[in-house]
Amino acid sequence: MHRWLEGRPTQFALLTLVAVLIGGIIEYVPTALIESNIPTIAAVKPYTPLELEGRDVYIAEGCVGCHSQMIRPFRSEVERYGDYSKAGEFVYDHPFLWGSKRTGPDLHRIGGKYPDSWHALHMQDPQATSPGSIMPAYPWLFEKQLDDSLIGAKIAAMRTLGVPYEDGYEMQAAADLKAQAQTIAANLSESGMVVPADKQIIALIGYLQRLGTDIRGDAEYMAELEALMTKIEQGTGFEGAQLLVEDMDLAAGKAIYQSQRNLCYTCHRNDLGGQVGPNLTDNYWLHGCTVAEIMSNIKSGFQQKGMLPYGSGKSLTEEQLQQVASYLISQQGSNPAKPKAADSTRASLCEAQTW
Amino acid sequence: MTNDVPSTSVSMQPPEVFHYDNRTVRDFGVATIVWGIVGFLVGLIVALKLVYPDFLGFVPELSYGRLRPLHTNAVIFAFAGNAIFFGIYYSLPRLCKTPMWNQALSKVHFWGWQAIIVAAALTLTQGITTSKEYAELEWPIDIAIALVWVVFGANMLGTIYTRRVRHMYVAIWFYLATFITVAVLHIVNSFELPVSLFKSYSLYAGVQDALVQWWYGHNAVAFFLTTPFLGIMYYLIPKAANRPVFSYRLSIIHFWALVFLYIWAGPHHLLYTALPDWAQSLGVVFSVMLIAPSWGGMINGLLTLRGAWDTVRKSPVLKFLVVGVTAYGMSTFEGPMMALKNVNALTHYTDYTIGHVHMGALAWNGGLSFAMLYYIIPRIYRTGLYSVKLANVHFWAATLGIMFYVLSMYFGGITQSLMWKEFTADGLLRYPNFLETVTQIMPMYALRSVGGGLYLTGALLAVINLWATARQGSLLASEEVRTRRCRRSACTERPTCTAGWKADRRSSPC
Repeated sequence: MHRWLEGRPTQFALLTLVAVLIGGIIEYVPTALIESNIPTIAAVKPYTPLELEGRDVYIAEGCVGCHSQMIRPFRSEVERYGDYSKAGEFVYDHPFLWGSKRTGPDLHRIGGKYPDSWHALHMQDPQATSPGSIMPAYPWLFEKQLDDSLIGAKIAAMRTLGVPYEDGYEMQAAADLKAQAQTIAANLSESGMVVPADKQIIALIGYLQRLGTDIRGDAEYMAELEALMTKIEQGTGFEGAQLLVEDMDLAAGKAIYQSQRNLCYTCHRNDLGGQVGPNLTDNYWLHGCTVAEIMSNIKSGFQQKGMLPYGSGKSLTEEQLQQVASYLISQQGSNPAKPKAADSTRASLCEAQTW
Repeated sequence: MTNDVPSTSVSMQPPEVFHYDNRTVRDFGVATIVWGIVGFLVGLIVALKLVYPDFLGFVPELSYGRLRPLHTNAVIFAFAGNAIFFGIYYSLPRLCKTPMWNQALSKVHFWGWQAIIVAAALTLTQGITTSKEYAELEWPIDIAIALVWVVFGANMLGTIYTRRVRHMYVAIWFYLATFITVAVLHIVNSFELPVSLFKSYSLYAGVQDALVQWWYGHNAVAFFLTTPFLGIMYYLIPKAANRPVFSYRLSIIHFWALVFLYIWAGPHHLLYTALPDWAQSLGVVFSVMLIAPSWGGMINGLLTLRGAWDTVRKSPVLKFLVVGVTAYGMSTFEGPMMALKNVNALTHYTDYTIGHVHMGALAWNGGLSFAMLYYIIPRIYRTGLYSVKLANVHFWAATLGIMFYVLSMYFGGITQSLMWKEFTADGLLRYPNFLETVTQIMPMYALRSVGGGLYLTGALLAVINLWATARQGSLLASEEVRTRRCRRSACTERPTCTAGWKADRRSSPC
């Protein structure tokens, strides 16, 4: 039987073709045609023009080689990265960017986790925000202009592929792109980083800040978040907390400050000189100077500025808060090299004697 | 060479005279080794960049993100790709007893493929990419690949249709499956909408794009890195060991099982993702079933050497073949294991996978490619290998390099994965900062570079050895053959190529 086939290349080739087509067809066709396979999520919207351009920067630089965008439904991943990824979140992703290797962390829920300035600093010098990081620096993203000449064509192409941009949106896209870029550039300059709005890094930050945030618009999600926020009360009730001066307590405070758990150093630097966050060694303090006030501020964070409760969102006991606050105060006037300049809008000076 | 001329004289008809084109074979051989060195070197550079992030400075064209796809493309399509064509252009005419069908097509094929590789290197370093793994090249290059692939297929089919041997030897089945399936995979996965000359968007979105991509990606491994090399194995092992293939029946069963089952396994790259569960389960089941046909190939290759193991000690060609086929067996056992959901939960996203693919690429594809180079180059240059000793040094450098590479990646991958998953007694992540899990395995990244460096050193020795071999011989560009055309009725009388032992005529590549 097979001997017969071995003498007939045409039949042999056709039979091979049939053999290889079966599996692919059975797996692909239902995935593409049966709607329940990819449940849509109403909150998931197409990318803005700037985000789309930022996504193309992400693609061009090969970020996908080291960063996944697919959180698996494991406790360890949900704890580390956030809610697991849903099929409906990727319906406008041409191409998909799930990745297959995590040399760096997953980025699917990176949006909104850090302030814009953190991303800018991190891309300029990854070791500044993450000492020991093996991610390369991307200085050229700060120098190269974003080529947005194709944005109209890109919007039109995406619409052809089924992404629901309104008819004629390509005329509006360039203006929207510039407006969003200006907002990000303004955020950066507020943090003391001067980056023109037309650079590639601006688009990339726009894309990163969008990632995984769509389903946070869900009413259900918002309710959950609100419940969570009420749980993390504004840090109060520390009145009367004493400044600790024992070496042991200060060492414990320093360990928490530099820990991988609370990540204070990633924004304020190991020597407290400040980078994304302010310098903590001068006496310009906006939100109060007493041990109790500093403890409260660490506990509640400054969400609008990108500081999560307890710095990283990982809770600390009252004693630990007291130790960190005391450590910060002990470092007053330590004059680290090249500190971040104080914000001129800071009016309140903390006098040494209040400590 | 003398094996190719029938040794018995059953013929009543006058012999026909024709010529094998060894120049094209030589050209593909040179391209194999040159692009191999490039691919290994870029691999070593990206490995070093993970140890020293500022290595070579922060230049966009030399950044990790752009060089990584260049490395994978160079190794798969430039090194292994040229090696496939090198093997096919040498073995197919000899198996069909006819020259390659069209010499002009051979030239177009050779230069077209090299032009595609150069275009890939130029565009990938510029950040021009679709981002789909092993399918990064933008749409104009995709079209060029499809065209050159069809040229290759036409040339191959033409050769097969004009053969002087009635039955297609098992190697040819694998070559045919390679041509057909890679064409389907490449075309379907490359459907994209161009925005400009250098930018396009995939036709598929999200989950569907992922499914199509890994249907392609996994079967690129199957039909670009496996089936053509199995075909070459079926030619080369019997030739180099002077033994017939162990089992003809096994070759039929494992061929059809392999081509049918492989296609289904793609979703095992997407376990625990947003891909529908039923598709994930299909991927797992078919991956596990794949052990059988894969091991059928390995067993048929290794058992062909039964009674000839003493020759393995003396022949670098056989050494590379044996380690290559053994590594193929190990990888194809490891792959199905990694496709089990509970194992995949541990290995996915980690360097374990990197170790797995390098076992396949360095030992199986690399091993068979170097075996071919050491076997074919001396033959078409009508001389012996310049230095068997040097080839042995190459073999041990490569083997040691693979060990360093693979073991360090296994160790690092599992270590990191366990750290990602570890909780404290309080229910908090033990290592909440991802970075800690990276710095922990830095020594493994360093060891991996050592392994890669050793492998590259070995390949450079091969360059010297093959260069000297070519220098001491002279290329037989057009090899004259005299044979008798096999008529349908007379086919069973086809002479066996070797005498002296009971050759199974159906399974000998003569």
